[in-house]
Amino acid sequence: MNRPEPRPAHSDRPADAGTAETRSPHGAGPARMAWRRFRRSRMGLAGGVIVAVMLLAALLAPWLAPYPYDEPIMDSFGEGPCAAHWMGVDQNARDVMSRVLYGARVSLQVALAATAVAVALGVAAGVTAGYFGRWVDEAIMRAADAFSAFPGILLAIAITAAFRTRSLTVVFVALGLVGWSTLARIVRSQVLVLREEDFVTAAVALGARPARVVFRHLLPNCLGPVIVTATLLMAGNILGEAGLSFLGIGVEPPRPSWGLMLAEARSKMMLNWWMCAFPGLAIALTVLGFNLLGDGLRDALDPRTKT
Amino acid sequence: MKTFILRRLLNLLPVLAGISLAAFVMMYVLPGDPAAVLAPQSADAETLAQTRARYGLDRPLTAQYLAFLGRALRGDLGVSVRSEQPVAAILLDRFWPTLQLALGALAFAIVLGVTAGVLSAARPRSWLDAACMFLALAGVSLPVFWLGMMLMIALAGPESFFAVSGYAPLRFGGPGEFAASASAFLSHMILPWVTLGVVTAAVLARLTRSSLIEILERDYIRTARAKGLAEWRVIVRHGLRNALLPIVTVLGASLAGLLSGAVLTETVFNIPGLGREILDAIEGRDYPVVVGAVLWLALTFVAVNLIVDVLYAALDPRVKYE
Repeated sequence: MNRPEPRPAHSDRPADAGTAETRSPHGAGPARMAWRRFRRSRMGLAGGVIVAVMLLAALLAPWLAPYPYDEPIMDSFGEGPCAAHWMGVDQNARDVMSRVLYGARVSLQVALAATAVAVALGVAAGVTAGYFGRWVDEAIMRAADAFSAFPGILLAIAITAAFRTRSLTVVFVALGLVGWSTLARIVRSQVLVLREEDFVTAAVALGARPARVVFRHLLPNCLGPVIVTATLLMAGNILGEAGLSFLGIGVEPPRPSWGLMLAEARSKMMLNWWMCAFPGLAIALTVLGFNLLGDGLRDALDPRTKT
Repeated sequence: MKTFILRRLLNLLPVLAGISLAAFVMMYVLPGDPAAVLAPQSADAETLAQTRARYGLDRPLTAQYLAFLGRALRGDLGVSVRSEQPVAAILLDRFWPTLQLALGALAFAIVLGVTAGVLSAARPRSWLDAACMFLALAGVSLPVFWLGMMLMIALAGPESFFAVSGYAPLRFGGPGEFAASASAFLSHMILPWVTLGVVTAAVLARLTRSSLIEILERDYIRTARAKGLAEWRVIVRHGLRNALLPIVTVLGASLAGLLSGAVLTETVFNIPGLGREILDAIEGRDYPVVVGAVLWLALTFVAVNLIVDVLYAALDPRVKYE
């Protein structure tokens, strides 16, 4: 599972939205300017389209799927791709395309939940560390170091093992715990810079309480990097869910997730290549989409870093 | 240099304490009744009491932790619940295939990744650059185990050189025996090496490209070109040598990633490695093996990072041994 690299601390801050550098002559806001830059990136747009198609497929699976995902089709056991079954039929005579469509639901749900856990934990930890500093900062960042010292997959396996029960919740909590440290580091470095800005000093001087400073002045200015990192984390979490399910410690049958479909295809794959090829392609395409979208958003939201 | 290594070793102490504490908590605190975990699953009340006494589970947690640490330092990681073999012996036995897998994959990744990165950097914004970088992005987007399965479907089989799955150890009995075992070894290992190495190759390709592009803008590169050196010589001898430093720093993390990413590859190709052992142990609720393996891998990562740091300092005279 690849964690996105922490990035240097700067992005589009409305703090300098009034300067000539980031303000367009037509008076467009930062969001519109970012969209204009994003539109120019062909790769980013391609990624956005892939992600949108996959999300739609997941949402509309019950209407798009030509067959039920969990019932055998009587007359077509172990059949390859054909006109009736575009992606073939699996070892239990279930339509592979229907399962890939429903699999998008499970895989994207788990990845979204895992990313939400990572964002919630990472943003909370990063803001706390950056705003309060001193020993709080030290304690939180050492914990983040400890979590990122281990390769993601091993950490996820260890956390799954420590829970000693298996459920969808365990899977996304484990993946979330793998991803939070990257976000914490990014948000912290962002807050460290913002804390010294005049508008924060002004807010504090006007008597704003810490909660108001954090929610009103600090967090909105961290949004850009958080969105970029969360998009790249989605890519990592889809791979992570697929890996854990493939190893048999992720999503449980009969729910089809892409990783689980690959695990089930393994014993018959030398004969039935289609059972293995299509779920894997779905994973690769979706992850590629999120990676392209993340790179495009990075360039759009932060014109000063060129990759 | 000696003080540098010594300081790094001293810095490791809190890290090792943290890792061992995490392993201890996982093993003795989380399960509720650790005696039930350590004893065979069919144990009656008497055996449980014996286990408690043997592992000192009736003593305070701090004393238990120190005892656990003492045993671990002497190489006693307990006994597997499933096979009743010492955990340390199992880990040592299973570590070799994983290490061979990870090192081979690393070698493959370095050759492929650095080559692709150099080709890209030599002609930035050309079609070759675009192709290499798109492949690199695709490489980090693939589920590795799926790549392994597709390679196996496409290339392996009874008539092919590539074995479908399994592992054949190298044997050092004599030249004939070695040659035969090496051929079997390679037929089992080449596809896993490729499978496991692709992601790292993609990462290295992107890193090599950006590092080399930056170096190629330096004045001494212009000087080298002005002297009339052949272009490949400029790029490899003057450029790549200086661009390698950031690559060396990620090798440690790469090897750590490969050693643990091997879990998936070992599963696909049925290689009896450490990752497979961890998963089987989780499946069989064999916590002494799980904790021992996690501890062992953590120590390996720490050692690899130390070696890379020292290597980095040795390679680049600008790095201060502070």
